[in-house]
Amino acid sequence: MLDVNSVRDDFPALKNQDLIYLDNAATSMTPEPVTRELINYYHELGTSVYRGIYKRAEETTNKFEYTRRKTADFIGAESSREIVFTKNCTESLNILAYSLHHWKDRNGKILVTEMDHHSNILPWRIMAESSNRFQLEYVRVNREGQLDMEDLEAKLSSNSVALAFPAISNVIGAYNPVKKLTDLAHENGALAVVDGAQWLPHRQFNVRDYNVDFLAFSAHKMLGPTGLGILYGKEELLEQMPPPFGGGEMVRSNTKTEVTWNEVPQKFEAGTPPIAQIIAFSKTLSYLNKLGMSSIRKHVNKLTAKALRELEKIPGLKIFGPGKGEERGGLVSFNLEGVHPHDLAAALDSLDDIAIRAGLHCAQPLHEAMKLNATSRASFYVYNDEAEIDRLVDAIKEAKNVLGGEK
Amino acid sequence: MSDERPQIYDQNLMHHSQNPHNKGELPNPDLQGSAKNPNCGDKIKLGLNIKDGSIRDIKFDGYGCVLCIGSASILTQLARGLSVGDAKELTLDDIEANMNESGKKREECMAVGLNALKQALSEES
Repeated sequence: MLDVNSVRDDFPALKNQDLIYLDNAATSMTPEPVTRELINYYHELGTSVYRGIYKRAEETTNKFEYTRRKTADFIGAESSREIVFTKNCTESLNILAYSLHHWKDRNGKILVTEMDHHSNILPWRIMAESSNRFQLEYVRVNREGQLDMEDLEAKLSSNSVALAFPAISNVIGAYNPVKKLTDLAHENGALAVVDGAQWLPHRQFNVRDYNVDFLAFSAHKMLGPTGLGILYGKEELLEQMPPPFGGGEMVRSNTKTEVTWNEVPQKFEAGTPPIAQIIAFSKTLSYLNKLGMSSIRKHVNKLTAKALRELEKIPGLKIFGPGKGEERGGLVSFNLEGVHPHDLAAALDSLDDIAIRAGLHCAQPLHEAMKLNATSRASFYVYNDEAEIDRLVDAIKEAKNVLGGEK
Repeated sequence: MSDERPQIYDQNLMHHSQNPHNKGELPNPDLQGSAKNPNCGDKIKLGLNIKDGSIRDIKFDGYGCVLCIGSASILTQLARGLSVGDAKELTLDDIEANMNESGKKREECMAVGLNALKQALSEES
């Protein structure tokens, strides 16, 4: 079990603060060992990676590549060559779509789901709309927010290039059956592309167990620094893919007549990378491992279960997403009858310094599918505790009075 | 929680959102406009009757938060009776002039009604 009080002491932005931070699905706070490592890089190293023929640069490169190995271990990749550092999860997915676009022997359908975040829809949409070689199709979601497996099986066919889906929905917290979806994609010769942004913060993800072809996620949602995303890809696939960006480091040799790309993963990392963030990310992974991913999962599940139990008791409050007893990601989306989500979020902020999310959560197709205008979302992480959920519930009741929702 | 209830929004705005003025649909509008808030899908539709170059009647309808509905209500009060030219010059500042300094303000929420008005007037010289 996590000792929340001692965990909280590790987070300077929360320590001795009244803020009840329940917007973790957007971004998480950063523990002190990670911020210290960011500063250490600038104060003690400050050099670039790979090229310097001097000790300081070698040390930077060693630390940088150490994070790559650690990231590979964290998700069970075969080798660190399968880990591409990007700007964020969104960029990981864009790089993938762009590369597939220029991968000459692949044509056909790209399947995304109605529950995807815009970052796993729009790169594919841009790709499909800029070439008649690809057609974008949406796998339907039912009114409860579950993936319609029949619709998926009907739409997957031998000319499907890729099936892109979220491991967990960022709006309703629904878990998708990753292995089953991946197997279905493979049976049809399609690549399985997983948006892991909401999964990786709470739960172990093993790319080999799930046999995914690509996995994208962001450091900043899992206690890491901003400006860093990861794209995992099976090595043999990364080898075949053309580089999305040209520049330094991604090229081995470049004369006026001939060009040879660098090896994977450097082929995908043009220009100077976010060195400080990458080096500090190894401290993030150490921190997560220290807390233990299974303890984190249990803690977040416990908070989510309590939130579901208590919120449900508020008259006029409707919760969206998976049914009772089904595991969900560490978030709860809901609406309070007669109160607009923006007003509710504004009220919680004013009444008790509670930060939640309100709006469409960059997932308009899901709101359309579930016939929703906008929703409020509370999402939990390692530094949240049960008392904060009690205060959330009290503040929602109070907000209802202040804003004049149905009594 | 403290005993003193904190103010979330400006009281005049709250009043407008709870009792919106000029809400509904004009039977035969001369001009119509609509606008959305891309952050949440809020939508305002607005109809106008113009006579002798001035706004003779104005009504709005839609779905939105306190800031969106309250601002649209204030806006319709401000716009009624103005010449088309003057109505085109209305800004968020004019709406905010009807609010106190305190309370939350989100420009994109407050601008939905205004954007609908601008759209309705855009064809009118």
